[in-house]
Amino acid sequence: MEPTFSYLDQLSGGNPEFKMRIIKIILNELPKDFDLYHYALSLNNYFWAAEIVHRIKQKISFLQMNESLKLADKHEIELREGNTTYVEEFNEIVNKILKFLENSPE
Amino acid sequence: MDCIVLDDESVSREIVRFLCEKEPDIKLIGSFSSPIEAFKLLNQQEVDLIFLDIHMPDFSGFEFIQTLKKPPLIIITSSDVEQATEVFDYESIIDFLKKPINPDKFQKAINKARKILEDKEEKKEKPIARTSRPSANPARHLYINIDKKLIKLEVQKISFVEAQGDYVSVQGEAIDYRVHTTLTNMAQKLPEEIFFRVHRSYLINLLKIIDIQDNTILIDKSVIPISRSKRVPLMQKLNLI
Repeated sequence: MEPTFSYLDQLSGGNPEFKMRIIKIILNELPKDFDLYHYALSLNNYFWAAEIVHRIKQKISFLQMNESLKLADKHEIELREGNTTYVEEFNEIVNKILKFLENSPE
Repeated sequence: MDCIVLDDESVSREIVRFLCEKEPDIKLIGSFSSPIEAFKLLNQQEVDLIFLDIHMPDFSGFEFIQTLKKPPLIIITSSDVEQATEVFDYESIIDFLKKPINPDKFQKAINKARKILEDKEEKKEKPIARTSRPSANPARHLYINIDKKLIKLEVQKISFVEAQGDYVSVQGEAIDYRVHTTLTNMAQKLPEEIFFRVHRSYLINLLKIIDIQDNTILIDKSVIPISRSKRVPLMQKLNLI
């Protein structure tokens, strides 16, 4: 599932400034959240990691990645139970988003 | 319509701001990432509507509502659909918007809020009388026994009392005494309207609060811890003032 700006496009109704503002916020926050998430995992603090996944999940939803969102949902639930089953898949999703945003022409 | 948004997620706050800006009668007067910040504004002025996230660190949206004595209209914005049923427990919640917020659904929710406020205006309902509070006739003075001498203290000048073993330390404006008593005893002597036990070792004067961070209160130059269990009751108490 590839990220798209369709939600932001629909929401902004052709307001490029708003769309840019949102992209900048995600680009600014997502790498920090992702680093923090890995730090939480390295401490085996899965509750904390799940809280960060919850935050990242919202960013995934803005990019209309429905299947990825479902996986992030499962990952959050599993982490809260102390299971790291979906770590790899979640990493792939976030890396995909970061690459997409960094290469975005906007 | 004066509104605020409370959401720990900045993109969500920006989206609500953007959608509100499209509505000429909506004035977003505050955008907050933490409930504590929102409380500060709500203690100073009333708002008509709150866009409220449920899942926030430390303090959930539902806990936030429970602390409000007179909650305004509330529109929940959340990605946790499974919590949607809980909204029926709160009269003030008028709608639930799933994230990412659909602009049409946002519009419908806003129209619902408009209608409720218009109906209220038409009926010219008298404001619901507030629950009567305990008699506001607090003792103005307190005598403490220091070296067999009774010292008169103005309670308003006491900033906080700290438990120190078999003693308590009474601190305030030109007040610095160590008294042989318990914090529970002090709490019984001081007016409950303005004094509140925020921690098993601290009793504070609510009127002396300078600032509240997540787990601490600044009074004068002292940082006082807040027990996790005392946060909601403290916020309720602050809202009463």
